[in-house]
Amino acid sequence: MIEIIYMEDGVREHPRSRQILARFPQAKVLPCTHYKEVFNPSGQSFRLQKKKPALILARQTSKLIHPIPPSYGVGGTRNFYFSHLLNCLYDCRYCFLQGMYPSAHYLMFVNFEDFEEEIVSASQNSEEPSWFFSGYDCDSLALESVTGFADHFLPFFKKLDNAWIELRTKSVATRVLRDREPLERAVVAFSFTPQEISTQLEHGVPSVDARIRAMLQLAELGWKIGLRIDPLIDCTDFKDRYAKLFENIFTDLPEHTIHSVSLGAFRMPTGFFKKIEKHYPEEPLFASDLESKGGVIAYRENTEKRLKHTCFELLEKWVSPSKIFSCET
Amino acid sequence: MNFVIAFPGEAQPIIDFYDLQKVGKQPFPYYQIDNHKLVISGMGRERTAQAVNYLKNESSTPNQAWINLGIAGHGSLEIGQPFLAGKIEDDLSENCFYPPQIYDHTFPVTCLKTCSQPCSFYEPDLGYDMEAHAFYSTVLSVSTRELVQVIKIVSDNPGSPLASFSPKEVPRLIENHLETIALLVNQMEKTSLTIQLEPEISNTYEKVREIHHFSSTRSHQLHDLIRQAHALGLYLGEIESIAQSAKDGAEVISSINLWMGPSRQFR
Ligand code: SF4
Repeated sequence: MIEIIYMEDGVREHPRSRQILARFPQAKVLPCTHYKEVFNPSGQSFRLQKKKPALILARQTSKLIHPIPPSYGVGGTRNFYFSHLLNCLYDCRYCFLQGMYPSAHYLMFVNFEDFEEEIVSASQNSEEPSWFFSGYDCDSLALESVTGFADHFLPFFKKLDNAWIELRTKSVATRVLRDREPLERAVVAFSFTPQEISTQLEHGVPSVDARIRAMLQLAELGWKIGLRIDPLIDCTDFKDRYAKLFENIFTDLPEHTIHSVSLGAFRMPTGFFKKIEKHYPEEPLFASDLESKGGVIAYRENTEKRLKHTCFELLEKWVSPSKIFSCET
Repeated sequence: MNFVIAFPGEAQPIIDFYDLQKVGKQPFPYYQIDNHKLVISGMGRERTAQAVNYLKNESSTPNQAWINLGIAGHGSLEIGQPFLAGKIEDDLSENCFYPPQIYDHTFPVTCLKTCSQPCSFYEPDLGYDMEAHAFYSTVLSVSTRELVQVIKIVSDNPGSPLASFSPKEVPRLIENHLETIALLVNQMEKTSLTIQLEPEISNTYEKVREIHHFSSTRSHQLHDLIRQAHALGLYLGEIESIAQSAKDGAEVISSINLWMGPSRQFR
């Protein structure tokens, strides 16, 4: 699956690099001084690289954890994200990564231990529990077989009594979770759109049914489940499609296993949107009735309100309103 | 495909294979048939950059496919073995290129160093040529990196150094790999087409602009609307009719917006 591995000279001897190389003995390894030589240059096509992304192994030497505003959280007041990996196995047309990064190569930072240090110090800075979101620049689980991320970080988080981790995913590769005891302070958050939307926009993503099955298995094993109904896509039969999606998700999901449900309408920084639109001029989603306001492209205010209100009403049948969070534009 | 090749002996097998016709002699021998073009640049960075610029001026379409093909020395590969450059260094520059490898092929991918002089010292896993770096850096202003590739065929290596190589062998070295080269050429051309804007969009845009005057902002809006209408699967002929019955550019824009409104909802 990985044919080319670009490797920073500085991580050539890192044990995690060696493990990954051993997993891909056929891959051609090309050396680089710094990952930015490969990842950052302009004049690359994210769209074309999605055909066959390479893996870049590097060390993250700049900031390792980043604060997130409380409005983006799911109940916590101290929220951070950290990214061991930039880019994703999947190819969702609404994904902001397409506009944020010049390259679609998987950029993995192998220095997990440096992330751990910063996570420990951030979580010790306050009595308040800290939340760490790992699925901001990638899917937390989809490339687990390459990165070993969850396998490494779950035992680490288990030892921290003041820190929560959210794994956000569209993957069904949940073995790494099934094979261990559920963590008290971990949320496995699955993102969903109705199957009709997923088929059109979430390329390479497992079917909604398969993801629901994976989610139910984890709930049964005692893992706390998050639902991320984000992005909401304004579409034909919106109410019926989302009603059916919620019915499929919640019918067999015990309420006590649900940690939180968050709702966010499709939105994107304007600069990212323009770039993505250039990559995919034929994409009908980008011809939706959107407006640019305050540097963000989003649905018009009325539309966004309607989408969220409809979903809130539908969700109240299944989940306590105290567990429903709205992600603001 | 745009081929940039240093020597006639390297170019001839490609000229024959694609049945390219000579269409110019100055400043560079230039061959073409349909959408295949080839220039023979001569040796070295400067000539290569000039040849690329010459070929760039022959077409205004961005994001075409480009290949630099030729013979090269190599520290590890056998004589006659073709390879694709996955990293291109230069003995006069710190700057490296990493042509993204997105195609299916059987060529080994290795590093390549562009040198000022023919090289008689070989490092393992490294190829040596005199053109690739200049080729790559000059093409980048008109094509995305995935569409710019460098294929070399090993002419000399530590066991059989350059001094013992006869230029007469060059055409045969290339001929042996024409089929596999053609497979890559095909993929690159198809890939290039996937990122070209539909000609129907620019045709409609030009026609509407012949009917009314549009300011620069409105021209952008018009182009965006036509592209969006195309994305929504709407019939672009309708836009021409709207333009014909509108009194000015502003009315064209607002009427197209009205017409498209109901179709904008995602299905
Ligand atoms: S799964 Fe998430 S990170 Fe991956 S492409 Fe889709 S939206 Fe982007």
